[in-house]
Amino acid sequence: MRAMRERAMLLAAFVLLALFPLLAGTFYLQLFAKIMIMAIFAMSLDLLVGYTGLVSFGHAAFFGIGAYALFLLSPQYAAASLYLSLPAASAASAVAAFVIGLLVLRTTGVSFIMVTLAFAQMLFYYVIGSKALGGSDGVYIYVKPSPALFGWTPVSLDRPASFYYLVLAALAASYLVLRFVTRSLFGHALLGIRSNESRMRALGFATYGYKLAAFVIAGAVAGLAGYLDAAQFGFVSPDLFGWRLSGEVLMMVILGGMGTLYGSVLGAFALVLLQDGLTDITRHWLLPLGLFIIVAVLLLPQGIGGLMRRTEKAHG
Amino acid sequence: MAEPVLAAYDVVRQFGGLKAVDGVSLELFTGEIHAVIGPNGAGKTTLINLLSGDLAPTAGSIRFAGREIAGAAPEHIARLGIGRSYQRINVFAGFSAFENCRLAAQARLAHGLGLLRQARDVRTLDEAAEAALARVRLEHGERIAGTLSHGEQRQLEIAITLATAPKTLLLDEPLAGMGTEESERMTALIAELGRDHAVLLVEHDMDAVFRIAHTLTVMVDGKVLESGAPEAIRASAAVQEAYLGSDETPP
Amino acid sequence: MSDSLAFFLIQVLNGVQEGLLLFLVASGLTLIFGIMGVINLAHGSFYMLGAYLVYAFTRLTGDLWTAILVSVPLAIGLGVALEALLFRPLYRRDHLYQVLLTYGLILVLEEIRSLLFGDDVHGVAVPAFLDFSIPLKDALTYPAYRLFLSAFCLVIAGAMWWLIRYTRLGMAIRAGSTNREMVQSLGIDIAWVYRAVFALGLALAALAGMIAAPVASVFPGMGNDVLIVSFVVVVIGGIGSIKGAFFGSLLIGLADTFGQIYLPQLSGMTIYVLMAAVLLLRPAGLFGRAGAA
Repeated sequence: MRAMRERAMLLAAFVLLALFPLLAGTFYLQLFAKIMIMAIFAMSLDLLVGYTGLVSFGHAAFFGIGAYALFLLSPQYAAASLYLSLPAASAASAVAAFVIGLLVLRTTGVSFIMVTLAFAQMLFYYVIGSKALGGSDGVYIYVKPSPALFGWTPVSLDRPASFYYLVLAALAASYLVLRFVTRSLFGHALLGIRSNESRMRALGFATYGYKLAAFVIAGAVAGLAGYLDAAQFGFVSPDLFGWRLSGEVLMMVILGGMGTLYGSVLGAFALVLLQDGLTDITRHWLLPLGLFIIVAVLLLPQGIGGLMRRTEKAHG
Repeated sequence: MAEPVLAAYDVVRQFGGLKAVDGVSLELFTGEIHAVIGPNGAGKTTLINLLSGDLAPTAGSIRFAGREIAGAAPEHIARLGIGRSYQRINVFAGFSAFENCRLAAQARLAHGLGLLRQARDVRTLDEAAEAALARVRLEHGERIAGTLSHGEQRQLEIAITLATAPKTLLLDEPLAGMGTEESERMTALIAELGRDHAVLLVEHDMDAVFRIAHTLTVMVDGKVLESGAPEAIRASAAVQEAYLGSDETPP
Repeated sequence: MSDSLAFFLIQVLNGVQEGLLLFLVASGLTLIFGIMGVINLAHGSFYMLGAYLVYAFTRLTGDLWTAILVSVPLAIGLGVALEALLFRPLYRRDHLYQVLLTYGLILVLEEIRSLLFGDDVHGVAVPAFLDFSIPLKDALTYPAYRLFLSAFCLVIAGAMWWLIRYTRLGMAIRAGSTNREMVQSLGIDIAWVYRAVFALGLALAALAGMIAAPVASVFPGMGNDVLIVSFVVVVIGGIGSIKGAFFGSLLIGLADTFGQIYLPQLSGMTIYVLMAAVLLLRPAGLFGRAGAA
């Protein structure tokens, strides 16, 4: 019963998002596209945090790699092919996740949080120091990627509505893929690792391999989000690797309720809209946001998604 | 006699200056229940940890079917068919009892990481989980593990171990904190398992031990005090003396 | 002495000074991890807090020492207050929520700083009697204040060593968070230990910011860089180990200083390469307890 209600609500949400461009102007189309990009990013982190119990504070590393991959794959004044550059960006992030994962997964708990942060910072400083990558000022991508096939261009991603639908499609696809992964036996094993890793090993699971696989999948999806982010406004900067972004996306996952995937989507919507609203009020909007986070942690142990689940249980 | 399935030879485990296990040798054979008894702090749990791979020995050898496995990772040892239950409840608290067993059964699947779930596999897992729960007589498996009573959690603890279909069992105080009736049933189950498994049983419940064990090893201060048939151990003056200072009274 | 030897000596002194200052910050961090099991992302913000406090009070009193004397008790007081209000509820919670809450704390502290002091870079004057340079060879000299910094940090390190070896608090610290019961059975009130360790950790970080202000300047974001590097130190040294923090800090300080001179193409990545090496070879850290998370 609950599964059917969940599915109905998700479908309804998708339909609403699909109809949104009919009503919304450019500003909101771009805002919602940005939110959906963050939602993809957040879902990828949920796989790590909510399902595997890996608190990564450096997930922005893979977001940044996906974004800079578009820069590196785009000719200076021409469009990169969407069909080539998108998978390549995701693959680049996946490879980076594999290498970094091999190292960081040798630790757990507090150490893991620290080393993931450290590696993201390493990339941050590397990009800042690199003239080829534009350094601390960042760099522009002048032409959006193009979905041209054999000379025929079905749509132009310069139109906000077209770009919006690309992101919506990516969101739906990411959600379905991640849901498939989490519902599989592999996903069950991840939950087991989160619950009691030592027992999992005692039962015979090679947990290091499972964690590494989850890390790589999460990295790949984060790379996809980063790519879309770069494509949206054509600008990338080292901040895309920064700890602030890693913290923001972690916030979305935790506040949205971990282990439900769609909770992270909710978290992304909530946080970006909150930021948007607060920025209008004060330049120092990070202050109320920070206070909000502190209060939320002290009061709400299960996040928004958990709150929903709790009210659901009350209604039976 | 047949070759031991699992054996430890002169195994030592040192923590800083303390030798928790000091030159212990022990052999497990299929069809035999080998009980290890001794006062608290004798090193019995450390011994099990050494055999299960949770700890690596400081010195000595641990052999499985003749092959050296000392220092091997726990998951590798588990895959050899060695299952271990814990003294302190170590289940997956948020999952149902059934899901606990199913997860354990999943560990036995040979192929890959299980990304592509197969219907055939799921049925095998469900059956294995049902069988494990049935064997320990734990009913209503849909209940969440964290909400079970202490005795039921102990039953679940054994069920999880059984769900991996191990050939060798390392049981760490499976009867701890159980009521009389539950104890009787669990003891009978262990005796049954002893017929076609190799079982290492660490226990304080002397009634149960003397009823079902084929061999006894008495450990004191990390060393083996005496080892042999139950009657010999019972009659041994040294064993009687060793127990006088502790709160366990031999029968 | 020869020119190159003098140059080398300067780099060593710089590296050691950087390392010793880092030790003040990292030791507080590793203590809070090791004893309370709490990950505190806002630790760098405490360093920043110290620097800004000293900047404000030096402007008021004109004298760095008075500023420090006033700022240290303030920092300790703030530590006690924060521990009671925000950190105590975190002790039993998942690391997740500790990360989130301390992240929110960073944001709050940054904005308060911005509101009170603005976003400009500020300087704090080196105290007059230390404002000279020791001549080494021809034109090469070394600032006396930097030597003072290193000496000061060594004194603090010595005081910490004494604290850990000879006081009851030190006993509790050595027992570590894995031995709560043992600590309590020693007759020590665990709540008091936590409060003391937290306040000590915060004060050390703030103190580092205070004494470093004349050489490092006072600017927004200064806490974050220190935080990341402190994390690397703790990973390399091992969680909960003061010895590890000490040697790790020196290693990082020297590696960073020499790395920038002799391996400029790695541009500040030397410390991360070191961290990666430690992860490969000894994931628990050089002095860490294997299995401590």
